[in-house]
Amino acid sequence: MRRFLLLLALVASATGLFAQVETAQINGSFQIDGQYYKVDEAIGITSETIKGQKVGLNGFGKINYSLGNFTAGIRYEAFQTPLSGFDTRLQGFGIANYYASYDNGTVAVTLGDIYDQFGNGFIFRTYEEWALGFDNALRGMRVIYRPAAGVTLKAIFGKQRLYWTEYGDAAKRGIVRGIDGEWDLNQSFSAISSSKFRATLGGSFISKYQKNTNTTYTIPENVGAFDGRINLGYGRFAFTTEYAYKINDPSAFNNYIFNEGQAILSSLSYSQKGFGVIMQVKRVDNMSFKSDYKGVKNDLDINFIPPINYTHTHSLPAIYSYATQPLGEMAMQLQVNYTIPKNTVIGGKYGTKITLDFSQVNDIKRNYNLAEGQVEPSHIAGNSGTIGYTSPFFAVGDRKFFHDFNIELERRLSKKWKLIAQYINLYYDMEIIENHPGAKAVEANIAFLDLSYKITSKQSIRFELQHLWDNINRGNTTEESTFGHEDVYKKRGNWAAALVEYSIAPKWFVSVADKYNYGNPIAGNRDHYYTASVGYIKESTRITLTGGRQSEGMVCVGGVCRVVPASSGISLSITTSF
Amino acid sequence: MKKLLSILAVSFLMMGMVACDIIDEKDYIINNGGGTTPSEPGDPNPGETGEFITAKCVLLEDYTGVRCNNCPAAGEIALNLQAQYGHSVVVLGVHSGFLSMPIGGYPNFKTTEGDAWYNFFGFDSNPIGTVNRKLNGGVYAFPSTEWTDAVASTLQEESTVGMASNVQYDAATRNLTVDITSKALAELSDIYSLTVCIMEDSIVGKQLLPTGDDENYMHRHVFRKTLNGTWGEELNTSAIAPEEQIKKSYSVTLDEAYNADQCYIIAYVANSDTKEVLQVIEKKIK
Repeated sequence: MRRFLLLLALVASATGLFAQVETAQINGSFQIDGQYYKVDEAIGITSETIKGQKVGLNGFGKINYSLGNFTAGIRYEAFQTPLSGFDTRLQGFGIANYYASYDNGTVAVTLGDIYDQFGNGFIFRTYEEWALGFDNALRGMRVIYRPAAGVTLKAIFGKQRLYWTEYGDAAKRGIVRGIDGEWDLNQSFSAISSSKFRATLGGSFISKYQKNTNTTYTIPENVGAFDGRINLGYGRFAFTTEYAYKINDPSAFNNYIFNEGQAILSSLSYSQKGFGVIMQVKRVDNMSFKSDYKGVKNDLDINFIPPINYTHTHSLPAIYSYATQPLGEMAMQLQVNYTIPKNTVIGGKYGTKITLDFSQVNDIKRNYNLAEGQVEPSHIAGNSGTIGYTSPFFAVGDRKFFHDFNIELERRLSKKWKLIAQYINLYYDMEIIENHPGAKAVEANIAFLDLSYKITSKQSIRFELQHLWDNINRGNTTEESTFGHEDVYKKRGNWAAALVEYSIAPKWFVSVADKYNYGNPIAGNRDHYYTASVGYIKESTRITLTGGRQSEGMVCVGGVCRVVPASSGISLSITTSF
Repeated sequence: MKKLLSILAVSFLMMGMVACDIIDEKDYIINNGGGTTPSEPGDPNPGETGEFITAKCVLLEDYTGVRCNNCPAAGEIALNLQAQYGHSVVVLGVHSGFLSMPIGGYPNFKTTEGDAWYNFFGFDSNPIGTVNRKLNGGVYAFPSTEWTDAVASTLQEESTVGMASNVQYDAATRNLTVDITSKALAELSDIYSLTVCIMEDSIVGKQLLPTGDDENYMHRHVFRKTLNGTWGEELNTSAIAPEEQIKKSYSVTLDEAYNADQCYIIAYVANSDTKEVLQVIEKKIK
């Protein structure tokens, strides 16, 4: 590491000396999220729960340097101790990432930590997501070669980040290597460069190598995955499709089954001013792909399965966010956006935006390979040390994991008033998504109103009113029947929520909010989760101070989720960039 | 440019060479199904009284819970390891964490010591374990998927402590006397502690499984209590020379609730500062 920094400094000073015509640029950003935890027995936070951890702190700072074709950067992270809900393996501090890159337009070489993805990421995507405490950067080398207009070839290899585990620890992860090629036909052929027809083709191969140390199963030491994709467009229409295939890859995540993996995602869309429609279908079958076959949770994911569900930003619908299921899912989504023109009877003076969205995810059909008299396996992927199951490609499994039907209306009522209203009908298989055996599926209806009023050109006030109706509510379950499964009832039942936010643009905002789980089947869980926040923004610096209670929930980004436990206390967040 | 093209060509060639390993169905399981199976409850007597166990042994702590549906699968991994390595692997099932709360008719196996360890090691969910209480990337936690590898590599380490036990149990009075002698096999320059535990094996009681509740689940290797405090008793104040022996004796009355036929003494020597276990032995009390 020290050697690398020295090299970085040398290169930086050398380029400064010899490349007088270029101007060096330095940019970066910092963020600190701290929280003071306090005991709050009313919501089940005892001194035992917080384990004496009174303060949690997550922070990072990154600095990038660029000069002409050369860029380099480092990223420092500190988790002392990690905020509650983040993986405890984040505990520590140090330089988490560094890289140096040279790109002359035809050839680009990057050494160090690499973030990249091939296509949608079905077989390769490395990224960092601060909100999840997720970072699967590939430490190694990447070469990009652009031999002709529209053609990009990439080769990568390296080892992925696993919290602070030493990269030399071979038992902890394998080596990832891969190639990718993409061809943009419109750039390659001048005859179609400004045509309405657009086409891009792509293909990739990824292989991971890890020594088998398992004494029970023959773990394949080289696991390969292939991917092909086509993006076509004509005028306002676009069609994209991507297919990926992975050879046998038994792992702790798939219960050591030897089935192959497959994934496909197709999307058809049309858009014009004031109207857009998109339809997507996806099939995922045994596509968890990690650089450590022993990996659990989201550890060392080589690939990424994109979600095709509506992302809710309001607090009550976000309680039941869908987490993608790499072991198998059949999903579809249809979304229609339409703006009713302004100055019409229905559209009103300013026009009205309507968004209609429906998505559903089922399991894939699984035919388990069972010997006579053998009972169904307890693991969804089937019995360890076998092929697991067979699955007809186009068949949809009977078990529904999730659906979300929602309609949203956005309308400016007058110069001062603006309204957003949404109705959501949700189905959420808690047993699968949250791994809570015995939990009943959530069938909820949610509605909210979001109303803003512009007091002056600088001051505005915003109100949010939300309600969630759950199929399990006080009255239709007895307290006794929940014993032994309290954890699955923590957030069940009806909720009501309200928020008032006052802003003085561009510097200040203050908000107070309350979420009330008044319909929880367990009397002791019918709690208020109140918060108050104040924020100050100056140029690129933002400071937010929040006090109150945080309810248990899930934070999901791109279908990857982490559980946020309930907490109580004061939090401070500071972000800045330069 | 030529160089770069050759780099790319080499990359492609490398990809071609790293052919995918497609495993034939008959080879899925090593030794054609000869994989280990969970052992039946039995007597893992680690050796005769007074005999020093000098070969490296591993303490595998399985932090588990009666309402943790994923825990029985982890327990099975521990049993597999015991079946594979015999008495070199000592398993202690510590019931602690939210999912070990005995509500709803589940048995109460929680202990003060177990909760203190769970909190000290920074755990927040089950199943989770420790392997000789060694650090794993800066934390004590070893997910059950890592136990097999971690146990195998720890068993390869050089042994620095030998231990011998002499356990006497009087069924009439339920009086239990335990003598543990620890012997340095190399110079030991830190401060070390001896912890002596009672473990009760094969207790039948309710457990949550992925398929629902099992009223007659057999709970294996249940940690009951320590005889000499949560972190044991310190053995030394200055360096211990090779071959130096330190003997500690304890006498207690066995709790009426424990089935003496299934009780074992588990004793281990650990570094007082890092908590790493250097040696562990197990002895059935009857």
